[in-house]
Amino acid sequence: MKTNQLAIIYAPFSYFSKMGEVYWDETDLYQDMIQFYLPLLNYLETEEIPPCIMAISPLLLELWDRSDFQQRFSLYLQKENKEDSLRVFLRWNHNLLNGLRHFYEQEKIECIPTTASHCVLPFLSTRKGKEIQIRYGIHLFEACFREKPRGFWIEEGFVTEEIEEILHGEGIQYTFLNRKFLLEDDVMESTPYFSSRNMFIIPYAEEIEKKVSGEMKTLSAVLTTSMETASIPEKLCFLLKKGKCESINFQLPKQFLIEYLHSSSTLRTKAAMNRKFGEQWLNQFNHEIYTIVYEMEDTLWKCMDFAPDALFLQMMKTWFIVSSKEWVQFLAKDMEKKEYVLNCLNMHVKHFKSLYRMVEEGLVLDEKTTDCSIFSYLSMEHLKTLRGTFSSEPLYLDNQEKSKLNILMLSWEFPPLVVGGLSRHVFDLSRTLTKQGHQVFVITTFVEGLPAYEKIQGVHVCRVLSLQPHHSDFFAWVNSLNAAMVHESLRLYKHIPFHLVHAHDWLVGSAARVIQTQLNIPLICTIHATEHGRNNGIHNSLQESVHEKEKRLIHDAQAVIVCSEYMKKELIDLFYVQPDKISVFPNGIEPGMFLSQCRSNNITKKYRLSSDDRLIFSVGRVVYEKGFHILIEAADIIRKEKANVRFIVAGKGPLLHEYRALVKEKKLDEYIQFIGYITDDERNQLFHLSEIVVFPSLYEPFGIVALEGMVVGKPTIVTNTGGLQTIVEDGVSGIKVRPDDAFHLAEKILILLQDKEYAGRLGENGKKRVETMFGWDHIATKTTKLFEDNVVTFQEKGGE
Amino acid sequence: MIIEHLDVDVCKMLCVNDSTLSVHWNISALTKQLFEECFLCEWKEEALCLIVYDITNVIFNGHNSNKWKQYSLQSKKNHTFLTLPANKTYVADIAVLLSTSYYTILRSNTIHLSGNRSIETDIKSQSLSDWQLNRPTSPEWSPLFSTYSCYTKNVR
Repeated sequence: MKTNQLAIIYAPFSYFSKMGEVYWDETDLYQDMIQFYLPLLNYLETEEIPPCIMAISPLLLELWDRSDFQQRFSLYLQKENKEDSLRVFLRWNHNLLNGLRHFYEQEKIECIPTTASHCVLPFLSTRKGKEIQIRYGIHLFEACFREKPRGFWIEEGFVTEEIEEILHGEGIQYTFLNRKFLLEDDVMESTPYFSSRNMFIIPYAEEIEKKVSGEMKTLSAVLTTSMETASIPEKLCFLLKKGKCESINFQLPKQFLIEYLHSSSTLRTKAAMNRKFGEQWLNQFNHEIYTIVYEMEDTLWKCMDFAPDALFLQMMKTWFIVSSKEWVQFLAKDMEKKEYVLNCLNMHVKHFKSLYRMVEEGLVLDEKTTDCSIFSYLSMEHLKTLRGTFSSEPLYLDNQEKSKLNILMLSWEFPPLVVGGLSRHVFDLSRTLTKQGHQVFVITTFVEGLPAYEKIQGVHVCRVLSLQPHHSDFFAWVNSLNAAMVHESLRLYKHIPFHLVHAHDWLVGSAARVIQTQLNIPLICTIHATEHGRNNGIHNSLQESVHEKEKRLIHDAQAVIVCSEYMKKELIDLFYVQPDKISVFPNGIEPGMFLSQCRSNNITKKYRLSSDDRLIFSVGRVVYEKGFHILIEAADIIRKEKANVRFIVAGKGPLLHEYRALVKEKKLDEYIQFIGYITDDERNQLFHLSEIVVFPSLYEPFGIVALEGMVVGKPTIVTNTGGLQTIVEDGVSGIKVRPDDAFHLAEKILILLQDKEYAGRLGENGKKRVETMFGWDHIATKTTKLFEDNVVTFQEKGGE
Repeated sequence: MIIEHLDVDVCKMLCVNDSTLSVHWNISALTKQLFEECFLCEWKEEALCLIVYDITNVIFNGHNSNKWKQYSLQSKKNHTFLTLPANKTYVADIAVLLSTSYYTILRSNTIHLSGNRSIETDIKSQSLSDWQLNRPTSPEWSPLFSTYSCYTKNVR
């Protein structure tokens, strides 16, 4: 009984190492042509050879098809008087591809492609790289044979599950698996099988020597031979004919597959890998070669979406050359040649570097740049398809908006992540700038459950996840976030030509300074508060570090924004900043944000407020500088005068538990409540329900919460400190009290509680003042003017 | 002869066989500059270390590995082979050692080291002293932090 077998001839392109030299000498290729390919075609035409598969390198197909190569080879044959070869060469009209096509159509052979540059596919570092290597082989095959290949030859038969998936996705039906790849004691037999990834896997053994000596029967269902091992076609033909006589039925894959399908339904999963096989290709002697392949691979995908076509193609061709397995093979044969190999590779790496530098500098390829003489099928069209498939850029980046300024804003918090006034400030400023025709990208912290990108009221919000988002060290956490912000900014900049970077406070200062130098754009920073001000001095190393970071940010910024004259003075005193470098733009307010949606009786119920309770409300982060301990003292004084007064303080912070304990200690539970975090809507309700709003801050660079109290028309009491001093006109649009003076605060609260008419007048006046003086449109216009002036100055100076 | 490198950040982990991973890294000038800017100190190769995390059945966020192991690195080195138990999923960090912790600058791809299914090797059977059991906790500074800074106790 005859056994069915496949015979496969592997025809690689083995001249990559030669391409490391200044001039590529094609003589070795000519020798292979004369000794192998021309006689093979001749035998196929003249002898009765059983059908076989030819796994052929895309590079050979490309060269054979090129007229310049045909000319050179023809001249060589004439010069060397190789008349027989010349005759065969002329028979196929100078193009061996014509011969292959002819025998392919005649079904004497079935051609299948290999990868672009014969790399060890599992050792490329990305799936994208593997896919591109495979796709190039298929693409070129289609161009040469005008149909899709049915099979694919993976170098060394190193077929992993991932590679099976890729091949299946490309419509490939079968491939060959090297049995060496499997564990020796694995139960896997030599019989072909269908893998769990829907690929017909044909195992083979590399035991050519035995075959050549006539031991074919002992082998697997595949007879493999390659140009490297089956020295000449004569032997090959002999082998095939001999096999045929010895009851072997050589088939083309399509018959083989059909017959196999009827006889077997074997489905197998991946077998364990033979450790020696992997080590043979990646070990301590050759790992350096892979390192450069990975670096190139990463660089390619990094610039794939924005590099000019011609440059990118050149880079990819260079990567193809460097990723060839031939370099590793070369070292395996002769370690003494290591220096030669590294020399050649370094030449390619330098070329790749110079191309990448051109991409980064926005240059285009000029005629002087030497083009890689191979991989010519890697065309603009091909690249377009690759980009379409592999682009990792979000779609929003394709929308070229006609904006006035492209603003990159950095803020660690952004709604709905709201800890303090910073988040609200950045949100209001960014959306108003967007409304005025600018394009604003805010880079902020990733929050679980929120999208990494979204557009909120026209503002592009990018939330970045750092490598260590919960670092135990506070500064390491800040730094990790800054690093993520820098990487995101550089990625965005490839698509959005930012005019400036606007950093909000020291927490994003490191990122802003690096972005400023990397993108060569002006840096504007807003300093919302200082570490010195918050702590009434610098007392420990943490505060020193924050202070230092503030100093560097302020120093490197082209312009500094603060929210009050008080803050301006503070910066001048602390950091010796030139006064004209600082602009004072107050915080703004959006009156519509303070309309309440929920029913007030829910709130009164929740906080046990009775109808005759007179509510005094305050809100803010529960930190020392907000002065809530003064409010506790004032409550203690007032309760002796008025029984139905209730104080509610909303907000969370490090001192929340301490203040709650203090209230308990003073037995003030009935009078003052620290209710912790509340929603915006609950805050609005409490503003509306309150009779008086109080902000007893000890340090307040601006005091946006005071505006919030005023905008709802409530009489507002603030301390005469920081930015609060300029918000309120004492006795006209609110009341100012001495900071850190509970008696003074209690006295003024009592006056307002007693004189309702006066209180009402203050509330009305306060509301009017906020609406006219602190609208975001007005502030954003002033901010824009500052941005524009700085962009122009920066450009005039040619960057700094 | 030394091979040329590109100025890019790379951290790649590949499976060589069922018990060996190959890790290669390269640190760009930008990353070094960023480190210097952030930590306000000079970049030192000597402070680098490699952390391998066992993240089997975990969606890793940088802190929630099952176990982790730290390897010190020789200066100028940018490649190493790691022998690890099979049938586990791994990811590696190139990090800078800090006084009480480490700061990750590069993170590799994730690799599942699948071995011969009949030989189930567990990390437990290896030297426990090398592997650190992970006990994720909320950072101590977290309750002290509010908007702009950490409010330490001695503020007043």
